[in-house]
Amino acid sequence: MSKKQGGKTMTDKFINTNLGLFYNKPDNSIKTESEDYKVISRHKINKPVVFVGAGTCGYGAGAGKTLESVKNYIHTKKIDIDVVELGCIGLCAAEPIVDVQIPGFNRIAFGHVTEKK
Amino acid sequence: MEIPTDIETLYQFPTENSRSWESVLNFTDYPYFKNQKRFVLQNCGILNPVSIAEYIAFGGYSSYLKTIKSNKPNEVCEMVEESGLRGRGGGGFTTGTKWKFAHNTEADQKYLICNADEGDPGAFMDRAVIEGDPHRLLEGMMLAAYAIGASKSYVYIRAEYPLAIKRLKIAIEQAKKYGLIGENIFGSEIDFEIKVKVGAGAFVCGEETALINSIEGKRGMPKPRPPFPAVKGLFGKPTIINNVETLSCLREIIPTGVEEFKAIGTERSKGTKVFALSGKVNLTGLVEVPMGTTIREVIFDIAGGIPNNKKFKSVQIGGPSGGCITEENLDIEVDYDSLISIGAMMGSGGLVVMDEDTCMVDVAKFFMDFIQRESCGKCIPCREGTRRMLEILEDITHKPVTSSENEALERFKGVTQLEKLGKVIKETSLCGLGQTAPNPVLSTIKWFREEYEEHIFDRKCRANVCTELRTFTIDVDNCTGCTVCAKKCPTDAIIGSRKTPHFIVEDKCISCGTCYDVCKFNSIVIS
Ligand SMILES: Cc1cc2nc3c(=O)[nH]c(=O)nc-3n(C[C@H](O)[C@H](O)[C@H](O)COP(=O)(O)O)c2cc1C
Ligand code: SF4
Ligand code: FES
Repeated sequence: MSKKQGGKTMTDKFINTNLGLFYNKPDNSIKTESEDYKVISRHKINKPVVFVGAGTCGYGAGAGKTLESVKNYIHTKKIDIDVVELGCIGLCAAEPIVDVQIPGFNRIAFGHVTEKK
Repeated sequence: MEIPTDIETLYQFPTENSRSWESVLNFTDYPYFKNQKRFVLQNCGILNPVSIAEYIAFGGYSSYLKTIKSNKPNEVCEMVEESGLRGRGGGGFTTGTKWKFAHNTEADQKYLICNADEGDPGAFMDRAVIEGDPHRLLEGMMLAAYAIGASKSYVYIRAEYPLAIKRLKIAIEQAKKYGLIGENIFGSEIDFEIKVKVGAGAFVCGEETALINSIEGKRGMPKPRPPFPAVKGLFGKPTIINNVETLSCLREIIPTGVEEFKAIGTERSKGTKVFALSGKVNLTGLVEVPMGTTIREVIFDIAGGIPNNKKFKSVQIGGPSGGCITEENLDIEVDYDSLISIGAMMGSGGLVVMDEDTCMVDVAKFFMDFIQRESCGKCIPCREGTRRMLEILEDITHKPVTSSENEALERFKGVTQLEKLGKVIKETSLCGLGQTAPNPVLSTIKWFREEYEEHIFDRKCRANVCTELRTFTIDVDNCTGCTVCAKKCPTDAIIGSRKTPHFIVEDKCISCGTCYDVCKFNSIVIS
């Protein structure tokens, strides 16, 4: 699904280090100032991310087609964007919901995003 | 950077060092979310459900790893009991107390089962949690298994949930890869294994003893209790069965959240509850609110009330086992005991909203039809009684064969019979399905008796839902004699010659409404 910036090894290292710390140093908490945290938690992104609400309710409302057209768009325009499939946020009445996060800006959510972009 | 104007903007998520969008509400101020308390759902729809790294970045698996390092299993049972957490699968039994039975039973093997059967029509909370945040459920299962001493566990999930099954399996693989599932977890000498068991989706298989039978490869039929599964369950071993939502609360409670959890809710119902809202309500979807929120707040303040300026009539809570809440009870709090006091129940969390266009007898019939098909057949009162209840409801809502007083009397006996039968079924059925099956009927009779009486005596359905009770006549002043209705009528009930007013033969008319739909001159009158 989503490819993490910096490839697999950074993610693996992040997971193993933090799980180890949780177990061995229970008073320790995640270092939110570290670079890998910022990347994984998407506090810092260097390419746009498109999140598609793709739970069963989202698919029922047409998220499958939305997802496909987002992927097609990215493919034909050859732009570098991460696409993430999400679960249901609860506002099923507004599905398909698509969130967009562009570097430097807050993540913003749009409702009823059928195939158009 | 500008937002395109031809798109519906919802909300934004404030992020450190990032510019915000002008005139876009923050997620937490958005009306639908503002009055919610997202506890179990906090990551749903926000984090990537199949990324263990993202889950960990937001603290995931810290509860589990810290607990197995620093707390003994009995301490964990204590914490959960102290928190006041009660089962979210319907019964509302205190989770910590149930765990202690299993914890205190000596055995060479114990099991944990996550009940993700979710058979109640109108409920989809558990599906959404698994699709949106499967790691939260896994962490909850790990904590529960540790507390009771179970090294093996199952997730019992219905085959109708393919996406949830897929994401759950991915999450399990990820947890295995990083040593959270397997043997000797992080050198703690704890072993833990999770298997996914896909069920065929029978409602009765959500009942715990039937579910155990189903996992054992037997027919999904309930067994008498005791012995309770906590003492003698799956393969005869101590087994704890918990609902998806119950388990998904745990990482917020253990090891440090007991006080915070206790502070939310009412005297005897703590924490939050997730509801799946459907039916005649503006914003259908998932809502998570603190216990103690009123049903009115959920339907009107959060979900935006009833569409098209229609009047609210009732809301069905707890699906086929539950009851209805009427206008006068709308200020009831979400609380296990208060809901029971008005003849309803918490149930698993389905809320079906009904407006003035809904017929309550028809609603009762819908649930009775469901139950009557889902009864496993073991107990005669449940198997035959629910069938008979359905037949009576059908008599009430269908066209009379004759219009004699006698028949009306038979029908009137119907309601008394429904009440009597309901009582017997409740008292003599083995499992919760039969014990609660008459609830939708009894509760609609209690609150909407006049609608039953209208159906019986006046042969009228005020919502015009029971189509067979309509009578159709032709307004001779409007009728041009075009013959369209006569041609379309499936039973040839309309007579008359071309260019002269037509006439409907009442005995032949089956009240299908075809003539009403096809007449271009508005000359068909429904009464
Ligand atoms: C007919 C019937 C269906 C049930 N269906 C479910 C279900 O789909 N999911 C669920 O969690 N509990 C269901 N239950 C309740 C379970 O038997 C059991 O009480 C529950 O899973 C215990 O978990 P909890 O203590 O976490 O609520 C059902 C009970 C009955 C009688
Ligand atoms: S009450 Fe109904 S569903 Fe339950 S065991 Fe008896 S027949 Fe089966
Ligand atoms: S037959 Fe009467 S309006 Fe058509």
